[in-house]
Amino acid sequence: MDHIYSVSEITRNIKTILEGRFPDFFLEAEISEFRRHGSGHIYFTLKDSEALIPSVMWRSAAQSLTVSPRVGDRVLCRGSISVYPPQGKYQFIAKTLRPAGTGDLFLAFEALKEKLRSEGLFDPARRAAIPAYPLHTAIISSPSGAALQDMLRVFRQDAPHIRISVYPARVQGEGSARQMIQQMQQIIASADPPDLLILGRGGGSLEDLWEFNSEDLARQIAACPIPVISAVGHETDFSISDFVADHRASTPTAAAELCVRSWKEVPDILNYSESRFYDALLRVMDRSRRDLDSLMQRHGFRKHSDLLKQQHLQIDTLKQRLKRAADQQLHNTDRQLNAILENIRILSPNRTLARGFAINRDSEGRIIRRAEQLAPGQNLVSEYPDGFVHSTVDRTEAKSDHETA
Amino acid sequence: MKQPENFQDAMNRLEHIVRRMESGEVPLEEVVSLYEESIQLQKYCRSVLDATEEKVRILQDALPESGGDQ
Repeated sequence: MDHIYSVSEITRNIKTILEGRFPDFFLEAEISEFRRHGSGHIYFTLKDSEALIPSVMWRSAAQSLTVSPRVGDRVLCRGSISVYPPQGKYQFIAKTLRPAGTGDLFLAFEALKEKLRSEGLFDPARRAAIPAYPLHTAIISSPSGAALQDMLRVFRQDAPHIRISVYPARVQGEGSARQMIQQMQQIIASADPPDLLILGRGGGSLEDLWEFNSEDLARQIAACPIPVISAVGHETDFSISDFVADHRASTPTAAAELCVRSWKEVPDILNYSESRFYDALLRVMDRSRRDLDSLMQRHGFRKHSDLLKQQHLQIDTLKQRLKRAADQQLHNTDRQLNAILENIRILSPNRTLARGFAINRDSEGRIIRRAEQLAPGQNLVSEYPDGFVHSTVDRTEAKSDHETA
Repeated sequence: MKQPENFQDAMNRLEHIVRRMESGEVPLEEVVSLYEESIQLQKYCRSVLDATEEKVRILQDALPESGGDQ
């Protein structure tokens, strides 16, 4: 009893003891105050009939919060105790928060998630890229479900050329994980494997979606050599299959939209590259003509020089070859191509702008096509569908050969 | 001119050709062959998009007792 503490010293001791004793625990309580700070942190108070504890959820954890808690809600949190010496306060640091009453399932879910995470199954480096232009997609879903119809509708509308193989499976209730695993194995072993696999069903309660939290299914997804999109529609929860799949879509419709996204842009890209090609072609021809002109001036007295004749001949031959090639290629599709070209002239810049591109011009109104045309300090005018933005170049940077190829 | 391996390959090649043309460094001799190749690539890409045969098959017999909601 003879030791005399300073405030800092006793607080340090309290901090060590409290934080050391409660590094990670579950807490079930009612929310009595709730405030989301502009910084993204959430400050709230948890209470029961006899006590309360000030609580905070830092932004990093708050970002992955899938529910919007309100005062009066009963919640189940996981977190730790933290002591803040400057104010002599202790508080609860919540890492997760969800509605109470899902206790047992939630604990099992968290335990499995932690186990698979520690094995590295959620490692982003494991995830395969979703192909931009899938030509054959397999779907595992209930044949009678709305989810399947939603997906087929998107494919039919936006990319009817994609082949779809539907592998029916129950997606809810005892044994459905087993069926989905069997179907995945069939797909992997198939003689005509797809480019992509969607595992999908519509929304439901945590209990409804429980089979998507099966450990066996998670391991099958992780082992699948074909990229997998997990598309389990739910507003509030992630399922284990979402974490382990190569991509998570919030709904089956969103999964199908991801598959057709690149395809939808193809006609525009083709039209645009066609007009770019013709622009470039005109410039090449123009430059050749200028080269020839300057050559003729320099050799004005030697009109019959072999070099000059060769240049003439070369240009004539090229013109003929180009005309022949063009005639040949265009003959059958003459009108069609003209129509396309006309469309490009009339629509392409607008369409391109509407798709999120901007046309950049320098101060003299010349279109900027390459970064190397610009230098720091130069003025730029960017045209958007609704107006113009004037700006100044800070810095330019060339891409490596690898990126531009 | 080699056939594209797949659609992505064709799109990449087309972009590459257009960039080469835009660089302004293509010798005149090569312009015609690039033109021909770009037309072939566009035809190929459009033909993939235009394929219209029946595309959805449901492997119904794979699991006879299939059903369930959603």
